[in-house]
Amino acid sequence: MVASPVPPEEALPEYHGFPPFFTLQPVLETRKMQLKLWRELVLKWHQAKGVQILKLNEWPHFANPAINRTLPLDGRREVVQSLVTSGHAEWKDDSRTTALVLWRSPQEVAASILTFIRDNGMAGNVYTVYELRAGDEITVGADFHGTEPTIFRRALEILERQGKAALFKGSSEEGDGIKFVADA
Amino acid sequence: MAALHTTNPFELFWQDLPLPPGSTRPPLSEFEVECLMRDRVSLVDGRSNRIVHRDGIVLLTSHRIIWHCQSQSRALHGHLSRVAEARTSRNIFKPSTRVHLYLQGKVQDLDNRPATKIEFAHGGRDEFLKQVRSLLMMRDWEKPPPVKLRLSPCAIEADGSTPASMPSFSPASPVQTVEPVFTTRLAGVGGILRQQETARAAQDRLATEAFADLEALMGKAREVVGVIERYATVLASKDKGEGEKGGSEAEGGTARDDAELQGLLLNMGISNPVTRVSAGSLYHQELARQLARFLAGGSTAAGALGRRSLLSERGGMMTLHDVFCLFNRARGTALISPEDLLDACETLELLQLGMRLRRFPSGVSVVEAMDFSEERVGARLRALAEAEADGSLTALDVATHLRVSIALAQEFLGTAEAQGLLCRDQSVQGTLFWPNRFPAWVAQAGEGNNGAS
Repeated sequence: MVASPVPPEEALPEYHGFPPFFTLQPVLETRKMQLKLWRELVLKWHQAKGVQILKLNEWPHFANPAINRTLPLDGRREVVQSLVTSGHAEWKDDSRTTALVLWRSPQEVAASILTFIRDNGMAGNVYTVYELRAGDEITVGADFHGTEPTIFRRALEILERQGKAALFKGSSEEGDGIKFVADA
Repeated sequence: MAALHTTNPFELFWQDLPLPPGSTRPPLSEFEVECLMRDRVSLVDGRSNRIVHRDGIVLLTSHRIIWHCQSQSRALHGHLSRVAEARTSRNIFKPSTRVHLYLQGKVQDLDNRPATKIEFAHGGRDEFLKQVRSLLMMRDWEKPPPVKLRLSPCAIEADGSTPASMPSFSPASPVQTVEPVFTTRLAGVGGILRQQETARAAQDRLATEAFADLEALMGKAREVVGVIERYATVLASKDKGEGEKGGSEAEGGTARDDAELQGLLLNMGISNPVTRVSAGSLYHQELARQLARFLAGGSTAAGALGRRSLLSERGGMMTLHDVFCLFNRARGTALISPEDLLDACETLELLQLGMRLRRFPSGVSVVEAMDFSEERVGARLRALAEAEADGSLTALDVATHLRVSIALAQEFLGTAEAQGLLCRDQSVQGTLFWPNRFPAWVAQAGEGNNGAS
């Protein structure tokens, strides 16, 4: 689950070749627009790659060697902070160098899980968390399959709070059991 | 209003001066030079000793005495040629702040001649009197207008100086020493006073003659300006002629010389610099007016060349440093201090002279035209940036294109950036400014997102 430094096959948007894109704009109005474009770039890339971890000094597109520009660290942090503010990311550490990119929010994942359970008549049974999230039997092909564990966990917690599922303590977090309520 | 059959010197001397519409300033004729200005001056009828017009500004020029009052927007003037003599009251028991002007005409009894008076209740009487006397002695209005020299441009180019030979000035006439002959006119208190007066007049004359060279030189300045103006018109007509002919190679060379010379001429043309002595408490206001005239292309040479004004040529804004240098260069010798310039600039807006002082947050002070528009400069910068080969601008590019200083170029760029027209690119090569294309991309992205969700 680490961002691969492999150059992307897909074409980057035009603004990635615009030098001022890599200077944090001092004028507030302009900076807002700049950050919006950065957010779009980060989310699209992570979604396309299915990657959810973003390390500030590792993500390749914070720099564009072709025009010899690099977004400095404070700019990168500003980009991720704006993602956090808009609810599309969370800091993973206090030093704020790594973030979780929520291109799908836990709410969206929760809704997706619930639909899958209903459609397949899985209510009433007990599964392990790992089984649902990354197991290679039941949920293969579901759109939440392979979701980052923290987000998946958070989605299940949402369902539990709504009374649509119950979590049982297991050997580990991934080994916890979950049972979906039959009625709904 | 001068009644035809009046004998009152007040009405004989003072005549209404119509002001040009929208102006509170009396216009001067072509070769008239401002000499002195005092405010809070009243005009007094010499017969009744009553104040007729109170608290105005009196302006003494080489030809006239002009009194005007801004609040009433009224002006009166009297020509100096009608003044026979100017002096203060003879009454030593009653100190006076008035100047008596005796008019030309039949003189029957010297002491009972009709006079019109000007009251300087707030000081300045003696300077005024001194100046009037020296003007009466110089009699500028009798001099022929500056010699219109028939100059061909080559005449100046050939030896680099004006071919007009400087006329020699009549040597100072020796101070007259009249052997005192006793008459009753020299007796008593009146006689003593009269003798003192004569002695003082003699000293005055001596002083005037001592400085005659200097004044003559100033008189020459007027002629030099005349020559320059003439030369400028020759140039202008030559330009037209060349435009029609197409111009050969040799003419191309002289055209560049001409352009350089034109630039030089533009910076000349202030023949009557306002000084502290000549304007008193009105100094900064007068300076502001002169400055405004100068920056708005009031320089006569600039007008004749049909060029745009100094200020508009520089994008409608100049730093105070530039103004200081150019203005002082135009003044030549009567230099002003930076403090005086700053004070004068601060009154620019108040006097509604079409320009104002402005301070940028960075501390740069500029004089800007009232119609200066940041939007227009911003749009111009953006167009410049788009026209650049690499699509970006530096402060140096802007300074070169708009003919402004680097400091001002940076201010312009900062303003355009704040308007969202430009955005910056900080790199190892320095700070570059690009057209701000973020809004267009954000709009595109917005449409894309809507389509996807």
